[in-house]
Amino acid sequence: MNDDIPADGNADDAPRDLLRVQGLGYKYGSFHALSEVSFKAGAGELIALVGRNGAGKSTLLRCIAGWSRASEGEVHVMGQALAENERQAREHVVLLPDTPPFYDELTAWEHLQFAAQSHGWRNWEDEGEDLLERYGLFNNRDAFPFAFSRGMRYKLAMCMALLVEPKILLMDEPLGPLDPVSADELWIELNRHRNEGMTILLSSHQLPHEAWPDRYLIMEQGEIIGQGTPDELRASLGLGADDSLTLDSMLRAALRRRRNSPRSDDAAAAD
Amino acid sequence: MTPLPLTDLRILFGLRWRQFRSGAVFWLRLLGYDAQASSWMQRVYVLYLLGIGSIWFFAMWAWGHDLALSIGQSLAPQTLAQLLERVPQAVLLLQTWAMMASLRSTPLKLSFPDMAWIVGSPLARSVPVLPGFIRQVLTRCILFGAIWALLTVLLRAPLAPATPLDSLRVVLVVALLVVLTWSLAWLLGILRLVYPQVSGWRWLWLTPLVLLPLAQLAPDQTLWPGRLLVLSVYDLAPLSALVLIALVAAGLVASFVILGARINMIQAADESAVYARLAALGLLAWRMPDLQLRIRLQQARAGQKPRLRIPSVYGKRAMVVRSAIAGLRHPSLMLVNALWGAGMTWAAGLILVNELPVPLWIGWLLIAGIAPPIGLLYTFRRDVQEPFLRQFLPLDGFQIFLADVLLPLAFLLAGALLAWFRFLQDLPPELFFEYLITGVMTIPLLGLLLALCGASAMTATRELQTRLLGTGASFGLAILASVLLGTPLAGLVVVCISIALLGGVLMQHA
Repeated sequence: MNDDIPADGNADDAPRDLLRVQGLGYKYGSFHALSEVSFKAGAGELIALVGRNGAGKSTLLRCIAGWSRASEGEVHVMGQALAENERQAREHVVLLPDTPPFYDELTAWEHLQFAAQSHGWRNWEDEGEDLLERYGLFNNRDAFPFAFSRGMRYKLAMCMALLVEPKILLMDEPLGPLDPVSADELWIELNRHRNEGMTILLSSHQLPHEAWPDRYLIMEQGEIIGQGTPDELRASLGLGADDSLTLDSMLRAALRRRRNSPRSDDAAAAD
Repeated sequence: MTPLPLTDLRILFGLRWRQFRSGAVFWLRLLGYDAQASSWMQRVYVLYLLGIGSIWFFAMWAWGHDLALSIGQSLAPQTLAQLLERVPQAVLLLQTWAMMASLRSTPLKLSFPDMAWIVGSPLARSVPVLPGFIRQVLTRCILFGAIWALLTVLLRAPLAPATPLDSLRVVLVVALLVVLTWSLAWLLGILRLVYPQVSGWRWLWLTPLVLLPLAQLAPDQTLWPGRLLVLSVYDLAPLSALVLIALVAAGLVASFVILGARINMIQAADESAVYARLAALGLLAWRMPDLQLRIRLQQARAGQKPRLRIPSVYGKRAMVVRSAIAGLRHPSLMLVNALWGAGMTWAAGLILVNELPVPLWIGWLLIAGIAPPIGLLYTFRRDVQEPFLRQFLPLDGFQIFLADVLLPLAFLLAGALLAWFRFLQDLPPELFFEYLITGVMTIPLLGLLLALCGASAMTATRELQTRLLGTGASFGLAILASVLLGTPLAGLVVVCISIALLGGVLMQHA
């Protein structure tokens, strides 16, 4: 997968630059949903986007996927600016929204078939069957997805996304519609794809027990107020070695720190 | 217990009135009136709204009246005779449809709150029947009454202009026939809900179709409601017949209300699923006909096995085949495309040959712009308006458009061309070839342009999202060019330029 990383930059920086978001801003009317959001993601990184409702997580994912046009800043996918090479850049990104829509006329299997055949891929059937089997949809392969539960719809969307093998997979609230067993299974699958080199950025309010992403991005009011590996965050947020590092504790500590420190300091810390 | 407890009925009518009022508040808020506020300014504003509304209504009605009059005066006698001949058949078709609809799905429609609170309450089961019937009949009376008030003006124009009293008389007859038709339909529908074994007859709902061939064998026995309507237009309907209809309708209403006490409400609730989902959308449903259609189609497909299979074709061919299969899995949509094409072509032919007034061309254009057949871009809309699905399509917007529109457009053009050929049969031979070639040249291009106008309104670019603007500009400019330069060829050139421009827009923005 890393073969596709552009060779124009520094070779050492290339893995870190698979996705580069720089000074991203987005406005709904006069409301700033995102402001000055910057971060990078490398190949094979699994990043969790954490924040309260309305913090701007979904908007950020939509802007990265090219579903919404950012009012300022840039998104670079594999070295290509999204705004300038939209079609090429989007080929490498798939976003799974929290409630994915489907075609009412196609069955679950036909969704995979159509996604594969429209890309011109032959001999995809084994992989398609394997995906449906792994996500527990094999017995529903001839059913129409509009009759599926929310969790099943998310799993089908996941199968479609994995079939086209994007370099960057964006997931909005993937664990919300899933039962605990399916959530654990999904996490194992995500780790597997991460190990194969896929970059995964997911927003979530909850993670399975003992699930550790490579990095966290903590958002509040459209800004990144903290980011880093679990150890880095533990240090920067002042959490003791005995404190458990959960999404809840992390978010509360980040919000406390933001309240207690001047805004400019926060912005610098986020950068 | 009496079949219709009046106290319960009063409670339910009260509930329905509140529901109607809360719906009205929504529309009033849209117009800037705050129903909660009780200031003088708000009261004055209500008077202002009423005044403006009345002026608008009367102006529109006067315009419609004048248009109907001028069409009636322009109609050739043989066209008028054909029209009068078709009225009884159209009425019979409508009656047949009403009976089929009631036999297929419960006429007593329950919303989700109805299922939770009315079905589960100790109210008598016959109580929801009467308000449901009254609501259905009232809306149909208003719709058909307005249509027939104008049709009376049109049909009487060649003889002597109709007076308001003539229209009023016809509206009353229409109301009687509406009550008769739907009371019979409700009786059939409620009988099915009372006797569950009848519901097991899968094809029962098709039985009213027997009336259509029967109309050829025994026209006097089947076509009399429509004939009575035509007679009432010319003040020839016998009063005794109208009284008889009123008595029969009252008897039918009494019958189904009494039978309503034995309705199987579980079945009624089960069959109301689509209605309940649409009712849950509230007034949003009016603004989103596509969503309404999706809900109906989903319900129709639920539990069915998919027809046809996507073959092993790849790339662009896979797109075309998938769109075709999606279309063929909704044959009713394709049929509507063909009928729409045929209807609009027939209307255009009538306006052209009878040299009917210019406002009719504007009306024709408005219908084309505002209400193109919903199936024409059904798949394309899904492809481009759902970014999740769009990200799996490795083609540009124009290629997706061509793939998605191929089959629906073929149906539309087939309907339009067939209607055109049929229409030309009645023309003198010297005009036949001229009109034939014009039709064959223009109809496919206009069909494609219509689809492109609708498709460009589905892009994410806000400036292009007003479909009427695109349709008005492209079709309007073509008509203008034809008229100003005196040749239809100029119009065709404009159409071709519009097609190229809109295709570019799709390529870039969809």
